[in-house]
Amino acid sequence: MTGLVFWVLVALATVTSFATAWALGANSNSPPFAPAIGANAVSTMRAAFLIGILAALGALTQGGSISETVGSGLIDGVAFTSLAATTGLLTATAFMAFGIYTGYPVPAAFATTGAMIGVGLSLGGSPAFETYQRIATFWVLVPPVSGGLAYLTAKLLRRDDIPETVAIPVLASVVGGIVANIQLSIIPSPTGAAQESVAGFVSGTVPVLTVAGVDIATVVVTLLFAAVSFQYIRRRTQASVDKGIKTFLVVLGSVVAFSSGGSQVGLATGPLENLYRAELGLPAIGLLALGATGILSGAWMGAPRLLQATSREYAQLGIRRSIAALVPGFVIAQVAIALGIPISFNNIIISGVIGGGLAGGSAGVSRRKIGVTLGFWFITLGMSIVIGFGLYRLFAAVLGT
Amino acid sequence: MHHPRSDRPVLVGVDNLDTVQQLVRTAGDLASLGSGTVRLVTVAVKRSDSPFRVFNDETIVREFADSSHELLDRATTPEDVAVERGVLVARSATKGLLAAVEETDPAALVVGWRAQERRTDAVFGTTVDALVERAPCDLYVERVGHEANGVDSVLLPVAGGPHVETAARAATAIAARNDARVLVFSVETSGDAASFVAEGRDALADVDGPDVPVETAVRESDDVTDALVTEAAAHDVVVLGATRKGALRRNLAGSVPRKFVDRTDRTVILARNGDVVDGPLRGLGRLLRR
Repeated sequence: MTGLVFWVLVALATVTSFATAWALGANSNSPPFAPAIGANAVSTMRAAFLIGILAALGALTQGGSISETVGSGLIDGVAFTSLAATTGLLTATAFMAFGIYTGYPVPAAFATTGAMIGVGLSLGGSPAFETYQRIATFWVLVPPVSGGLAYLTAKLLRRDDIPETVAIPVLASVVGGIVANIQLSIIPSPTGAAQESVAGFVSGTVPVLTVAGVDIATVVVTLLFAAVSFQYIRRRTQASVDKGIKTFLVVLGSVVAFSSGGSQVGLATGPLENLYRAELGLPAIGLLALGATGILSGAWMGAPRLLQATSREYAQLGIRRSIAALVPGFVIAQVAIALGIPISFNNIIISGVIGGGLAGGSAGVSRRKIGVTLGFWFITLGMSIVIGFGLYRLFAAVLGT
Repeated sequence: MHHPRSDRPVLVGVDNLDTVQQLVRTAGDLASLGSGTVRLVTVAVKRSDSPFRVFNDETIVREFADSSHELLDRATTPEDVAVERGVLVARSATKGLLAAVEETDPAALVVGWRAQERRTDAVFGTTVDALVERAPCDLYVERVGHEANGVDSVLLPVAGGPHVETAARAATAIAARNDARVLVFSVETSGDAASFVAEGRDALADVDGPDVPVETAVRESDDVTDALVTEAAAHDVVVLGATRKGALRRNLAGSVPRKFVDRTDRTVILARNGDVVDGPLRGLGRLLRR
């Protein structure tokens, strides 16, 4: 391939990746703070500002694992060239644009995963069935697990015999315990891994002490984080239940926004992994920085309008059900990041909202709409594979490569 | 489209607290010529990325559409007119309003349009364009935010085309309810102005409703927009039919009405005849859009 074509493709791929990150930042980051805005715990503009910063930080520090899966884990035997990366991104972006334009549910994670598989197969690579199996299992488990966690959370919050001064701090302690274990690329890993958690860092630096296969230091740090979170929110709720809940909503929104950035950026940057790192020799953080900037600007420019629209809905959903939807959102996003599995954040929240509703009796969901939604998820996945495959063939033929 | 006194309501699509009343007033004027019923609808838009979209319509209308209900409650009922209210759930405002048209088979649809909106995702803008193209009933697009305070004179610019009747109907309705006069006006560019004015006058006479005082005027001018802007200053409301070319869309996008709207502070209502939407391909188009 001539040098000019290569650089044109690099530029095109970069712009497309940035645009995808922008769209992700603008469209998929409203749930974390919408409940807090609905409860008047934070203003819309401040929330949009925070979402941008937190999601970008999440993208920078947690985005690497999913980005790698998208960039190199889906296809064996070949590396994505500049043309392949551009084709994959354009295919995925076209699907997302179709979703935004028509109002049909087209999850970004499905579009990107499908497009990269299609392009990879078209390149002559072989399918990485093991990865597909892991991803498919995870995707299938998301609705029941997210819905189930939301159901349990909502049940806990609805119980009259458990006062909110206990229930909210308990949830805070769970969130705190998970925060101690989330994988961050900025924490140096004593064991040499790319990402490390606070708990893992401590357990790796202090003398190893395991009891029955469990790393004591990790457990201690996790419990410590949980205890501090519990105590902090407990004090706040005891002083005023209302204030305590608001504080928890903002903290929860922050960690969810952070997780959302970490789980979504890979969808925009993943296709460029090989191009940026192997062919251009740039560090991983450079690519993530591109995605993080896209998410940041998308959130700042697009989120306020969306937040205004959605915060009303969450306010009507009620604080308990909002919390019940966000807690699984955080947990599942972090598990996905730890396992490097591309996910659509919205899909988790949908299940959470339904699960929380079931705890109150009837969820009032429409079977037809759920059917349509599921149908579009499958269509998105299938069609993006086919179109990615065909489009790469076409481009390769036109460019004579 | 012939309009016998019918029981078909005038449908109003609203999306903004500040402009509900203005649109309801116009719809009330139109309804007073016919059934006397205004049906006020607002669309609870659940976008593809909203987790709330999986709820059934009843649940959404009951639990997740507070702002829509607030909007509908804001409208006060105009004199001698019955107002029905309804919230619809749809993926977009366009889809919701088209569904409402299909369901109610209204005498006309009235929607608002904010000329200053720059954002492409504004509810009206893209929505109005789509409705102009697809809504199978008479359509009135009122520029909101510039509401006449008392109406003494209604300007009806004419230049032929299929939308004159539709425009004449709104001009009559507004004039009748406000004891105002209507001036049929045309700009002489190709020697047809006198016949356009006569046609406009006939259209006004054909409207099934109270008689209103009608005057006519023809101006000589090289610039249609200039002449319109100058004349409009002496009136309170301008009812503009689309030109002969048919599609109002083209005019909204660039030509005379669009330029005119930008240069006047009068209340402007654009009228589009529902018959232009009925075509051999419409049924097919509807099937494809489902």
